[in-house]
Amino acid sequence: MAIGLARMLNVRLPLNFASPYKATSIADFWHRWHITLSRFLRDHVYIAMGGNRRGALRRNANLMTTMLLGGLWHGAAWNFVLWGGLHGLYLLMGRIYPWRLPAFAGRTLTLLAVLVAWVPFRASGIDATVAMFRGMAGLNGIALPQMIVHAVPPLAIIATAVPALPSLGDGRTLSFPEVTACLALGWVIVLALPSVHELSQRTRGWTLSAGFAFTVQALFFAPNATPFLYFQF
Amino acid sequence: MAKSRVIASQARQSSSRWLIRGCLASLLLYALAFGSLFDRPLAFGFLRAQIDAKLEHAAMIQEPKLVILAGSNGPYSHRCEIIEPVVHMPCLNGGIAVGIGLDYLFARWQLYLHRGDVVYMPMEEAQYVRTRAATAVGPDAAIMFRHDWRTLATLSPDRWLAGLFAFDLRFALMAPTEAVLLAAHFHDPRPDVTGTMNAWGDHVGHTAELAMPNQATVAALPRAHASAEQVRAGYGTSLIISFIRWANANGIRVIGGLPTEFADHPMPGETQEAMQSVYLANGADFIVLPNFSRYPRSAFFDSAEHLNETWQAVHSRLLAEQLRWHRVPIAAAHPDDPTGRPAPRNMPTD
Repeated sequence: MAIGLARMLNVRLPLNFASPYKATSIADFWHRWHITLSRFLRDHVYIAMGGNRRGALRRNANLMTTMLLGGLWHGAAWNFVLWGGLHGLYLLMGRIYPWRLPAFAGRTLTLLAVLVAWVPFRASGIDATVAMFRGMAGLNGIALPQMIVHAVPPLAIIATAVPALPSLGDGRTLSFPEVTACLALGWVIVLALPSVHELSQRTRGWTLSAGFAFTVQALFFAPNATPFLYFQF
Repeated sequence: MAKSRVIASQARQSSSRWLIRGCLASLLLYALAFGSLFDRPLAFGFLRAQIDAKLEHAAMIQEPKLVILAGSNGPYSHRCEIIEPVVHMPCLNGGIAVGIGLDYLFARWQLYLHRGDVVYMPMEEAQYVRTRAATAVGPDAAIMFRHDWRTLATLSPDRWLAGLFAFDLRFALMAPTEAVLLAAHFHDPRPDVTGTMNAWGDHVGHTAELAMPNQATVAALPRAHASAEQVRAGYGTSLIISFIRWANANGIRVIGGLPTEFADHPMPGETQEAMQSVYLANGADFIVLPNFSRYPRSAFFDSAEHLNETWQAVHSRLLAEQLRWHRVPIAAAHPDDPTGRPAPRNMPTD
């Protein structure tokens, strides 16, 4: 929307996101994610502090400082600092251990690292972050809707049956496979299909107009739609 | 130069026309697909079957009847099977689910309610405060657009539009999935896990034993209550008031009631008063049970609106005693009522 509105004023905004989840390394991720901010931090913080011109130790310190400031740019809270710190750590590890992984392994590892870092970014605070990490590590066990466990009894070996999973729709019966299917579709679109910028103008037109009805539905009639995350920044 | 500018302008116009046509085709395909092809027989068909079964039953009752209208609090926490012999009136549990729009619920039931009937409404807080936008896109929107154009036509035009756009990508994904499951004779686990519906429309079989796996979750369920102001200003409230007025004009007695709730986290007094005044200020009655419909968490099945079967019976007996004095009994319509019961307020005089 921002790109379209700017075009109406004859302003061409630079590309800001280039399929970041297709990145094969964390460095690649930062070439694709919030590109304008990455460039700003690189030009005005990292290079301004000396970049990689004063030895490996200073380079690493500059890199970490830049990422911590990048975290702070998103909000004055410790969880954003932690997010920036995690990315700084990932970048440092990439520099210290410059392994060349096969594309699929690199992509998987990068995606996993990015998703782990999203936890402090989105959590309401450090306590919530720790609670989420505990859950992700399976320290709270696995819960599944009682009806799913009833329908597939072997699941009872690994999962505790609960009446509802409030965070997954109503999480009662069909909303669980429903949300799972939607997530799977989302990941297929994100990881396997070309981005809008990679499509030809004709294909882009087809894609956009084919999904027009769903766009109207989502914009005006979706009761639980959450606003675009970056509206808050 | 001028010629190239003209060509560029023509290309832009042609591209715009092409995009507009594409968007219109998208809308047309969407309407056709969801209006006649895609359906969710397991998720929404389940609700539709319940609504239709209850209305079919209502159509067969010729004498004055008691109908319970609410969300799932109705069938889970109230038992017409127990209430009926106490109030000496056929009783029908018409509640389905909290997500079903009240305008839809009332529109369907208005066709089957007649002079002398009594409607008891233990509406859940969420039903009072639900917004117009949320009401418009509930599951009933998809049900109406796909199967019940007649009812949709009786509702406001914003409901028509919301009906058309009630289908999201999830619906498109799950419709073929559910069709395949149905074709493969998928065994629906719901009756085994939560119980089923009896001839009165009550939910039965949600025993304390079946509730055992839910107890830890129920014990930890957070409870937020609506404020009095939210109840007064709620869109659901305005629909309830319209229904009460319609009922008054048609000789149907409406009685409000409190929904069941956790005794350890009751609704604020002001909220309850606001709820009561919705009925009392519009010529209906309101029943407050001695226990304010509050029960310990161990009495619930899987949420604050769903008592387990044992406590459903307890609650229904308590309520039946109160309803006995508030109903519009055929006998009490005569001035020399041999039972000597006090005449209910707003009693029809025919």
